[in-house]
This record gives sequence, C-alpha cells and structure tokens, in this order.
Amino acid sequence: MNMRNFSPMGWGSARALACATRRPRLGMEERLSAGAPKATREGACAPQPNHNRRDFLKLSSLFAAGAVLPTILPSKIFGAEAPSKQVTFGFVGTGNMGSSNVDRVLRLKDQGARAIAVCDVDKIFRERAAKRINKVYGDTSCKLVSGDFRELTRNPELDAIVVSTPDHWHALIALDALRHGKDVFCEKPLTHSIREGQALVAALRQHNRIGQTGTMQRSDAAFRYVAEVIQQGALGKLDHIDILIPANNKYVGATWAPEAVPDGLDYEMWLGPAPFAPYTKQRTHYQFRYIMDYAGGQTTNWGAHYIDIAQWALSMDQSGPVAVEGAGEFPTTGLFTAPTRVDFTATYASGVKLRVKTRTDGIYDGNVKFFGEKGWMDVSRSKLKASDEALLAIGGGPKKVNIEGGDPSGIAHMTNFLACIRSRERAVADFAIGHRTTTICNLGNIAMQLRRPLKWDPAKEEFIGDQQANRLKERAYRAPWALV
Amino acid sequence: MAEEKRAANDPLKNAEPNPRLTEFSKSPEPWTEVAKIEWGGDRTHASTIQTLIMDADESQYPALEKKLLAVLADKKLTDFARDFVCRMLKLIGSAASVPALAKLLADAKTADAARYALQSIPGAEADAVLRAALGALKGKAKAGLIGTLAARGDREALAAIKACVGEGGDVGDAATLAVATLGGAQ
Repeated sequence: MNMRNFSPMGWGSARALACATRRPRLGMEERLSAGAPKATREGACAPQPNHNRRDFLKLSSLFAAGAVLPTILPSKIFGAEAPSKQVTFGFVGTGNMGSSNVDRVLRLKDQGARAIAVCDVDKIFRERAAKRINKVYGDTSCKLVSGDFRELTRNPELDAIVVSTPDHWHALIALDALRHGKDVFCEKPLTHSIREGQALVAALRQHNRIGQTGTMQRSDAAFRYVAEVIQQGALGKLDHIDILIPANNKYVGATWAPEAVPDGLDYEMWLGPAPFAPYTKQRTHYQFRYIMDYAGGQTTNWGAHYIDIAQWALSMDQSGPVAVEGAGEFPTTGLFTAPTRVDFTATYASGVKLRVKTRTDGIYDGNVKFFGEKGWMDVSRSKLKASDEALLAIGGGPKKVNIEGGDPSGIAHMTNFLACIRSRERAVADFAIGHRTTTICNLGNIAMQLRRPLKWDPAKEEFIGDQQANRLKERAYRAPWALV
Repeated sequence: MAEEKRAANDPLKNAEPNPRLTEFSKSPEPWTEVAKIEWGGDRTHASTIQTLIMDADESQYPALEKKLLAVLADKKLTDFARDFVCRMLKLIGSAASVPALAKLLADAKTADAARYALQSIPGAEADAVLRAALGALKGKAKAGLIGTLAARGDREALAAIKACVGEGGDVGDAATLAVATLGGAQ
C-alpha cells in the first residue's frame, strides 16, 4: 500500500492538543537525501527551562534509578509540577500488553503524555482502547486506525509510537516509526530474529531516536538492586546463573481446521510479513506466542525478561555469550510449534554459564538465581532471596517505589521513556540492550532446534562454522513486506 | 528391505516372512506422505523430515536436498507441503535447488515460498534468478523480491532496483528503501 500521499485528515482535535511547532514532514526521497533527523527536537518537545520541569525530570530520574521515595506516591502529585508541553503517543496493537501500555501512558497524563491515536487489526480491541482514552480525557478525540500502522508511524502529529503487536510485527513497525522521526517503545521480545534486531539498532542510531524495549523489570527496584550489587562484586566471581521460565504445555489438538475470519479482524494485516496460513481462532491474540512463525514461545516471552537481568548483572548489555547448546522439546504436530520444554545453556567468555529451563512447579513467573564465590542471590517479581541476609541490605537494600494504582515498574518504565523523549538520553532499556537480550533467546531456540553445540561470535553476531544456524538468524517475509 | 525383494542367492530367500518386518515395510514413508499434508492436518511426517535435516551434518545435505526436490516435483503437492519444503531448502539448499525454485519464483502465487529458500541460499545462481525475476514479477510479489535482493546485499541488482523507484506503490516504497540499504552497504 502506498502511503506516500497519506494526509492526516480528521486530526483536528488531536492537532490542537499537539505541539505548536512541528518538524517539517519530508517525503521518502527527501528523508533519504537529508540524512538523519537532529537528535534534539526543536519546538514544543524541547526541554523547557523552568523549575517545574526540572523537578519532573529529577523525579523521573529517581524512578529510573530506583532511588528512595515515599512508600506511597500518589500519581496526582505530578499534576501541579508537570511540564506544560505534551508528548503525543500513538499505539499500534492494543490487546493484552497494548492495553496495559495505553493505561500506563494515560496515567502519565499530568506529566504531559497524551494518547491521541490507536491502531489495531481487531476492531474490538481498538474501539475498547479508544473508549478508555476518551473517557480519561473527557472527549472523543482519539483517532482510530483500522489495520495499517503506517497511518500512525507516518503521521506528523505523533511524537512516540508504542508497539504492542505480536512479535513478528515488532521490527517492521518500529523501523517505519524510527524512519519517520518517532521515538518508539516496543514490547519485548524486541524482535523476532537476530537480523531484525541488528536492523532496528542501526536505524535507531542513524535517525537519532529514543528506543525503549518493554522489559520493565529494568525499572524495578529489586531487579535493579540485584544487578547492580552483582556488578559491584557482591557475589565475587560469578560461576553460573540459573533461570526458570514458565511452562508452555498447552495442547489444542493434533490437527486444526481453517475457520472463517471473524468480522472486524483484518487477518491479512495480522499475518503481515509472516508466511501465509489460514485463519484459526487459536492462532491469534495471546496464543500467537506458541507458534514460531510469530514468536519464540516462552523462550522469548519470559526469557526476554529474565535473561535481560542476567545480561545486566554480567555487564554484557552490548555483547553476549560465545557458545550455546540445548535440548528442548517441540510439538511434532498441531498448531503450536514453540518449545514445550526449554532447556539451554549459554556460556560467556568469562566461563559463566547461563542455563534457562522450563519450570515444572506450575508457577507462572520466572526467576533468576546467581551463584558466585561469595554466595547466591535469587530474584523474581515476587521474591528476593540470598544465601546471606547481608546481601539483601547493601546500601539499605532495594529502594522500592509504590505508586497509587499499582504497576510501579511498568509506570516507572514508561516514565523513563517519556523523560528520555525530552532529554534525548538513551532509555534504560535502549534497543541495543533489548536486541542483545533477545539474541540470547533466539540463540537458545536455534540451539534447541539443531540439538548440537554452537559457537557464537558476539562481536560479528554470527555463528562460527554452522551454516544452518546462520541461516536461522533471519527469515524472508511474505510480500510485500521487507526488512529494508 | 521388504521380504519379497530378497535376492536369489540370499540364504533366507525361502524363509517365512517376518510379520514385524512386513508391517514395518507397509508403514508410511515420510518423504511420500509429506507432500499430502494439508493446512491443519497432522504434520508428524513433516516434523520427522525437519528433524532429519536439522540433525544432519553437512556431508548429508546433498542427499537430503535431492529428496526435498523430489517432493517439490510432486504434481499433487499441497500448498502446506510446498511451503514446508521451501523452508527446509532454506536450511540446506544449494545451487542444485535454484532451477526448481526459479520456477516457483516466476509465479506470484508461489513466489513467497521460493524466496523463503532463495534468500538464504548463497551463490551466483541464486543471485541470477532473483535478479531475473525483477523483470517478471509485479506488485506485491515484486516488492517482496526487492526486499530479498536487499537482504542479500546484492549491489549488482542496485541499478535494476533504482529503476523500480518510479513505479510507486509497494514496489516504489521497497525500491526506495532498498536503494538506501544497498547504497549504504559499501
């Protein structure tokens, strides 16, 4: 579909809410010849030198750093001191995590975040999201876009795009947004293939945009505490790391039947770059993650969170392991193709071994346990344990932040994104970090499929001496989509 | 080996048929059955072949590739099976697969499946058929093809891709981005 002549008609009310001064919109050829946009936006979104704004940024940085704050922090406290200029958000994908991300941005209303448009291939989801947005703002201004995300990524009224689609769409939507001058919050796992991650990081830097991966554990006090004290040597030399992730043992039959596409679902756009397959109900919405054409199963779904903490603690955010091997189990028939049992080990150049396994106790959470010469530490969303109580109290222990309405790490993560949009500093889960974490998830899936030890060069980002493994770093897309 | 095929000089040629062996010889052959799998059907035979391919060492690739190409030539091949075979050729395909894939590439209905394999098959043979298809495909299929040429970093296709920029639509958009990608890959 040619979007070059796209004209943002019907944006009157949103336009009035948006920044007064905007970057001139360039055509595709102009953009290519003009080079990357400037790092700092001019006009309404540039930092405002006033006391209120400084206070806001200070508070945002405290969130990001997990610093000491009162136990209960009412969200309305931000109201009087909020910066006056708004940052406009558009949402591509509004189900499940998309719905959560809409709520997070809405809760940042008093800090100048303004949700103005939603796009979803499912009519029910996008209308629900728009209704929620309009209710909060008390108007009917939220723009509804049916299936084509380019109506959002190429609309000059938007500053930021939040991508919460199924994983096979993440990279292409984020890339289009970056190329059109948007800052991007993209759900985890950041991409569906290693090559997509490389392309996304390159585009982020080329266009000087802000990219936040949706790994909100980066903005959680307990995870931050563990990563930082381990970086500082609390456990001495690390030996190994064990990660447990929830099971995906759902079974929907050895066969399935194509079904009629329901009214209100643009299935062609839902499939997008993925290979064609007939519609069946279990393929879409939450279950997409159990089909390898669209996601990587729990390896990438939960691995993206907990491997991320291991990478952080190892100070390997810009690198990765040098070897990987695994022995998972994959369904041999039926709709789902992602591993039902995950078990792989990645080895770093330091000798540290990171093992990721499916947990068998039925708990739907992960955890990461670090073993070093001075003891161990074990952290999940619900607990923080260590071999010695003293390890839990370094510097006073984790600086928990609670806010009214709950979801402190999710709110803090979106707050960090908003702050970085204004400051132009890199986000706490910058795309380069998300890419390296997602790479390990993908290395694990590839190793489990190939069932042999693989050597990985984290500098060149390629397998050493294994043709098949290297061919699994990327996939060709269904036309007309392309990773260019 | 089936009982009835024992050689004349086989000392067991007059032995009673082994019922277990007879039953085994009647069991479905994955390389035959895979061609019949429909969307949503039992894909166990495809999984068996996938495991064989993923477990193989490189010395076994030519024989496996030959078997895949034989399946691809089956006149009753289902859409699911074509897609599956092309994805397996992505893993182990060589220049030997290119002629068969070129035929699929020429048809917009099967061009995507062909690219699933061709994008990952190295060599001048694959480059040549992909470049040649630029003159044959149109619309979405051509846009996808341009993406594959860019993904392969085929700078020799740059001039032909530049000529597509003016076509507009999906083709023009893909060509514009591909020119930027290939032009920047010095």
